[in-house]
Amino acid sequence: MAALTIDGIGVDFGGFKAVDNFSMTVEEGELRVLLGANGAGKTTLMDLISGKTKSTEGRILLHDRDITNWQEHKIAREGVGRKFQIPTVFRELTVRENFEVAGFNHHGVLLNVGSRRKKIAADRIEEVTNLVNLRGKLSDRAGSLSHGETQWLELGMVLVQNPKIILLDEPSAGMTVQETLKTSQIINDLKGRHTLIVVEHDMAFVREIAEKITVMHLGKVLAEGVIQDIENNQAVKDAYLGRGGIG
Amino acid sequence: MSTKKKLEFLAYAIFIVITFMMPLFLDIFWLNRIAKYLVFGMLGVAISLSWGYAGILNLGQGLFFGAGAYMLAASLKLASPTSLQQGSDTPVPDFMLWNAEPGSLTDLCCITKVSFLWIPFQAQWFGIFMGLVLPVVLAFILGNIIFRQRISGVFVAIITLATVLLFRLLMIDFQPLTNGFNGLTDLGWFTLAGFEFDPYTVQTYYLVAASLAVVLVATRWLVSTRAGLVLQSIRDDANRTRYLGFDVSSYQIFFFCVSALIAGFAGMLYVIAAEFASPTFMDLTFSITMVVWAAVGGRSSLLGACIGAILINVIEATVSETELFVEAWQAIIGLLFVLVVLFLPRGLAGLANDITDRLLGGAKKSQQDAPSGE
Amino acid sequence: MFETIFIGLSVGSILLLVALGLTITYGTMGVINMAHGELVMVGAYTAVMVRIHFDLNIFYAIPAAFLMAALIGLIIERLVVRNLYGRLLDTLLATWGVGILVQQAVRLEFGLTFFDVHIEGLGVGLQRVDVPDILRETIQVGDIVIQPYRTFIIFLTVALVVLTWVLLYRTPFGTQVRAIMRNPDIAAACGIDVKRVNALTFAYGSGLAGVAGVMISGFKTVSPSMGTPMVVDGFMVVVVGGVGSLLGSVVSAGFLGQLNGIFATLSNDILARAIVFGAVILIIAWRPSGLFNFRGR
Repeated sequence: MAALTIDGIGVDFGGFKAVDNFSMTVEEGELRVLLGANGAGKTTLMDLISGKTKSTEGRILLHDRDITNWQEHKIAREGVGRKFQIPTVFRELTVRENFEVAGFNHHGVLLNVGSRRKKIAADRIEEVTNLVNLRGKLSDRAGSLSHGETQWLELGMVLVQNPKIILLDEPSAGMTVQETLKTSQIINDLKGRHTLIVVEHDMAFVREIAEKITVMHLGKVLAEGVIQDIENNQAVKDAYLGRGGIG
Repeated sequence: MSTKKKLEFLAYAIFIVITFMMPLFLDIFWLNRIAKYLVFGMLGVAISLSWGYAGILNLGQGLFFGAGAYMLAASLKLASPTSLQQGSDTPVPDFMLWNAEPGSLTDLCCITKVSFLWIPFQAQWFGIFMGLVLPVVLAFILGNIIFRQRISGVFVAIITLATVLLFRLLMIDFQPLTNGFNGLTDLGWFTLAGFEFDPYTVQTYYLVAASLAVVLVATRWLVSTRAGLVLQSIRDDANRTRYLGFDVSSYQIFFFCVSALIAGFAGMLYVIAAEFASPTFMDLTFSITMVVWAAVGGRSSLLGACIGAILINVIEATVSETELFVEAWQAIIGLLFVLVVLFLPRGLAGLANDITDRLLGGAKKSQQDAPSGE
Repeated sequence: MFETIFIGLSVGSILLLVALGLTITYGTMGVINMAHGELVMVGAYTAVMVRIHFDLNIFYAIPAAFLMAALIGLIIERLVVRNLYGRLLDTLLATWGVGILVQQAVRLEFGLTFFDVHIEGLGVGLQRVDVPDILRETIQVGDIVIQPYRTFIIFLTVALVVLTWVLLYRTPFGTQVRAIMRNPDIAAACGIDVKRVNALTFAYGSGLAGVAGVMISGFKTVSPSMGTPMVVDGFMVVVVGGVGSLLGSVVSAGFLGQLNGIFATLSNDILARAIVFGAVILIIAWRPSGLFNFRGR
């Protein structure tokens, strides 16, 4: 039973098909990289999986559950976590509070009318805080962090959320070389324990982490395979990489 | 507990103690006035919860205030001596006689077509019960309409504005039921456990002061819970909160209802202190003025909004000696409001917060990392 | 039957007159100007002052009120709105505060009341403006009785809507305004002076409010607080009609006006207004972006 099965998913925006009869199967613990030019439909696909956009055709299955067109919070509870391209955190809350919200055991409002010291994933928060290097900033307002630190915070939040499937939308965007290296280490470390789908542009970064790659073009699957296959795929070269190959 | 938290605890304590000490310094006339301002302070808390913590700008909080007020007022109206002097053994509000159906029995069951709705209010507990329940029910319905549809920001403000005006018009129009423009006056005194609360006694003042204290502490506790933290994250970024698995609209509806409950409770206390309920409670100006209080005091601080409301009204009362100063004060408030929105978004409480931060300065880094609650 | 329709048209035209200025500012800048009602009030007071101090009738007051209100609008834009660009809720609140200030300015006769100086026509009391003789007599056409003043208002409203349409769709200025409406950043990148255009747009919208005030002063008592209910009505029209849609506002004003008219005739005015509010709530809840929203994906 695959972790994520996408079966002919598609969405039609008044005549424009951003995602068109797209199918993909991601196994448990796998890391799948999603490549594609701007406008290929990668982010829309993420939106469809996480529930932000409603599909007009096809199905999405999480393990065996049909989560097609479920509401975002239900999909999240089912085990999907998402890290956005533009880091979105709770700017007025402290870093610690951001982690806490991500790690509450319960999600219902009445169940959460209780102390903040209880029913939180305290151990996981400790672990993640160290992992993303934000120990010194725990009491700071999240809005005061630098861009790179905000990326770490959001990544940390997703890790605290501890979902079975993690969607990462350009996790290295705007990062320095060292930060990118660190990110790739974290991601590699997550392999096996979580299922990851990573949307990326930075080919060097992709090299560090990729196992299987799916290339999207005009909302459809253009090619699928390991990095060598993709590099040598003529159709991919024409559509995305250009004649020069991977840089 | 961190220093910040200790200071906050102290601020609440000092405030409550001061309110309880007022009878030592003021005559009964002023005490009654202050009691009404304490009720406004409660409204400030309601607005702060809704706006500062939940990010919901409710421009129609007067609806819940009025709903609570009218419910208790109905019971107190029936309890008034006048209602038993209308020519019947059972109480009948005087205004119903002026609207009576020709040839009808002078009794709540049949004097007007809708007077039977008043029958259960003969029991005071029913008035209290409805005074708490009706605002919550209204908020629940309104909340479901607004938040399930993910309406946010400006549109929420406009819908709440339209709703309070709608109900104000309905209250005015249903004269046989509500006495229209004139509202409910000539009320009996509120009674609890056999004790009568004459508005011009110290006991009534303490009733209000104690209620405010309870509301302040309870609401402060509520926002310090996990639910309160989720609420603030929704205020910052509703979508992000959804992706963490939270049903955002249920949180918004819940806190919207709590805010309405506080406002309804405030409405009942106001009726006890002021001895009337009127459609003016649902004037747009009043509802927006509540927002002004909270903005000046500090919308993200329950105590700040509360003090803001009380302070503004106290100053208004002191300058109301001449009509000229009343008008001038209104202009000052208008100017203050504009300045606060432009330059001081977290109000006076925010200012106080910044000053304490600066004074505590270096001590912050070495503090124990305890979950903060502001 | 004709009576009902005429009342509906009349109410609708007044709604539209007040809402027109709001449509401009809300549609182009997304600004909710809660002081718009006070600008209407300023227009009404201009008519009062023009009569008292210059002995001129309403027709002369129209351009005077336009200029007066536009000037105040310009000041509001410069000092307040500009600093809150993009912060919709804050703009709503700040302009409410400005509205209070304008009201008090009239009540306190710009502060002169403190020095016991009184300007006739201002102050806390009520004022009246007379309808010019030409428009006073009702005209009989067969069975139908035509009220000339209200008819004049309808025609004036139509004229102003047409003028606004021409301004927006047939002048270079209008093209700039519409460009900013779609995308202010790109517009700026194309060399459009966004600040200047916004200021002028706001001034124009305010000026229209002033004209509305003049016309309303003919049949309503003029008082410092007359403006507040109008901003509410105006906003209902604008939000229901949809952001930035002139057509939307026209349709919405017509619809709400007719609704009010019908129910006012059927039952009473109070209930009619209540029903209009109810309709507005339902419409916003069902379609928050308004009936004619053209902001695409």
